[in-house]
Amino acid sequence: MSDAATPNPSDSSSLQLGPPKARPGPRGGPKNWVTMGLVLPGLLFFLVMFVWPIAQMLSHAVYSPEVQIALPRTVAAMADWDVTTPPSDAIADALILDLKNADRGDLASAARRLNYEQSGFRAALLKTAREVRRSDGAKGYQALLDADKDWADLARWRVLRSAGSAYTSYYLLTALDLEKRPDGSIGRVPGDRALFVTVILRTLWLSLVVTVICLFLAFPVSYTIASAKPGRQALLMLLILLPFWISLLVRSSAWVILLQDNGLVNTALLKLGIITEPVQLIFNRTGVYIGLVHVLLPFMVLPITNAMRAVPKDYVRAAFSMGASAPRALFQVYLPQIWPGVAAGSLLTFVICVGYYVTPLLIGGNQDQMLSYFIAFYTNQSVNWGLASALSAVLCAIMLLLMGLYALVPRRGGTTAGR
Amino acid sequence: MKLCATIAAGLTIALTGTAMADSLTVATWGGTFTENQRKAVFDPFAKESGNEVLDAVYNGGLGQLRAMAETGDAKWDVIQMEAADLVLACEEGLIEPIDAARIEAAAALGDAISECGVGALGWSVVIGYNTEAMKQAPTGWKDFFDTATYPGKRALRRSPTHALEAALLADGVDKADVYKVLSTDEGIDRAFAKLDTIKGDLQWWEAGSQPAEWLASGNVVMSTSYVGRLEGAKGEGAPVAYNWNGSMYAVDSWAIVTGSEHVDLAYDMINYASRADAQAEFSSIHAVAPTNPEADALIPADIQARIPITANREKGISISDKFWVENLEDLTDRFNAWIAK
Repeated sequence: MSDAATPNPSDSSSLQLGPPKARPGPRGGPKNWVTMGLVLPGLLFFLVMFVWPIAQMLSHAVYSPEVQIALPRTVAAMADWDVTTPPSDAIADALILDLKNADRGDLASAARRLNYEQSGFRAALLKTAREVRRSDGAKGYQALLDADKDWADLARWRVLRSAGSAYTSYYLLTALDLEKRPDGSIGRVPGDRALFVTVILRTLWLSLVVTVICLFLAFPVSYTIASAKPGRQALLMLLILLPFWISLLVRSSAWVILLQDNGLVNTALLKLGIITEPVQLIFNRTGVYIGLVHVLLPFMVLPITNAMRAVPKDYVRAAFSMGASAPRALFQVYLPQIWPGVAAGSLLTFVICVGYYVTPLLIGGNQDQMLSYFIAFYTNQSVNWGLASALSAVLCAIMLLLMGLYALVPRRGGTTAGR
Repeated sequence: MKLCATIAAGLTIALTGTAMADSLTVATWGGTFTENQRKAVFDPFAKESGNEVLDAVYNGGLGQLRAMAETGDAKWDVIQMEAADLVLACEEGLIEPIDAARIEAAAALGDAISECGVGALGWSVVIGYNTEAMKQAPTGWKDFFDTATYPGKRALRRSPTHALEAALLADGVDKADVYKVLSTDEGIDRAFAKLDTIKGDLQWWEAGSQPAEWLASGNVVMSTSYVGRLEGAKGEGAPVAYNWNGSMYAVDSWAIVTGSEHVDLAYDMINYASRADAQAEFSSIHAVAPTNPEADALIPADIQARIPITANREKGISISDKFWVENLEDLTDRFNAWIAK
């Protein structure tokens, strides 16, 4: 984090967002090649192991060639269909030929893809495939109608046509609870199917609350550490860092034991007569707040402590000696100087919280799951990678937006004392 | 030195393990179910064939199978699947078509052999309850949804299956009409609206072992559960009971995962598991119905009373494979959206 060339010690606590600024030096000299050579492996690793897979994963959000792969002739034949009259026998024959020749797995993928856009399509397509495979002589539009009468529905053909393109806006729209209407306009999905906007707002709200709680809890802790004697400072720091040595899973599960209905906390409160029946502390929002604050607090404490340490005691004393009241000394002298630490800590906590998965999963209820739960669900459970990617893209966009906002916030407060 | 020796011993076991006869990985439903299956089927088969049978936990759905197909790495060889999942997996090519000629008990099994599956067992899911927490025993789905008379948390499977049928039965739909009503948009809305009335009191189980544990510990007062698990808990002295009214019956099948490297061994295992004596043995220690009718005669009368045979089954409904094959994916999406709000 700290860079020897950084002129300002308090900057060491602010997040390094971009690469360090290049230092002025000789151009093109042999030294430059050596530097390049040293940086290259790291850079390559970053590109190959980080940027490339993420780009690959995100591309699933818009790239969806299943229908093109399974039904290539149909897609080609439908290119000049006018979408308002029933499709010609040539188009129907192309579909029949495709259905006869398609690989089982490819056809199933295409059928699933089509079913996302029109429910019932999966069963219809597979049923039609079975029928036309059974009868060798099946030809023309009528053969399709014989297999499944709903092929008379032009909306189905339009879905087939639009899904024939390798690129789709379907997943991104779904990730934002939007859908493309038959007339081409974009509108909100009906309330009983809308989900993700609620989840996105929930994720942001939860993260905000956790960040604010962390900030208030971290402040006195950081101040105690920063103003302790060096020896005790090290000990206190150790206590803050201790949780990092214990597996996150263990720490999260431990809360289940503590907070459950017949857990330590409830038993103690019952015995003390403070409550008469167990309070629900886990598998709800309260539990998630407790768990997340516990996990994320160090990320807030560390930058703030760093910033506080860098503030010379004399400044506040000087403010007092010049007649400033306590609040004034706090707001005009002390806070501006630790501002970079506060901003960095808050951003760090918030950003980590937005992407959190395991703690809410273990100690949250169904109504407390954040966006990453759904990304995992669509990746592992329903294996709808398109939607998982689209949700990831939304999460990434939120992160980038936040980083952008952070970059706009002034780095230090009004005072430039001591510089 | 001791550490080195331990590591060396571990390595030897690991290496000889891979060099031994084939090992077959069977994905099945976990907990006491798998334990009993191991006793009645896997271990005797392993002994007879000289191979090893490993088990893996499978909780339904196609996610893991699809992931295996995507990555081309079939971690499982045989899987015990529910009827709707079986048909969907078969259509997607995630499981192998079954060659009926290789099934020894084909004649006895009859209709239980489908395109990609061999009937393994019939199970019922029933309303179980904790006898200590309940002043009076619930008699059906109306009571399950009646939080005034029967207060306390209750649990359902985290899936639209069972839950939607239960909601309609509780809402007064006749047993015979459940799927007719559920096939309409209004019927589905009606089921979700009924579930809404007890949403705050619901807990959702995902693994088949959870409900019996929750009921035994008093974590919930009522829950759907497989009969076999409840009988197991009862046998251990847990304060649980159940009622056949409102039960839901279905048949699970064995299937062979596409890409399995042990297809021959998989057929051998399925053949062993389809034998009348193996099925009778399993039904005797875990309350499921055999799919091989020849097993019926081998099951003692006292056991017959607690497994899902016809007389018990008739008090509830049979889960419609046809309905769920067509609607499982859509309704799962809607169910997930509903549960998360």
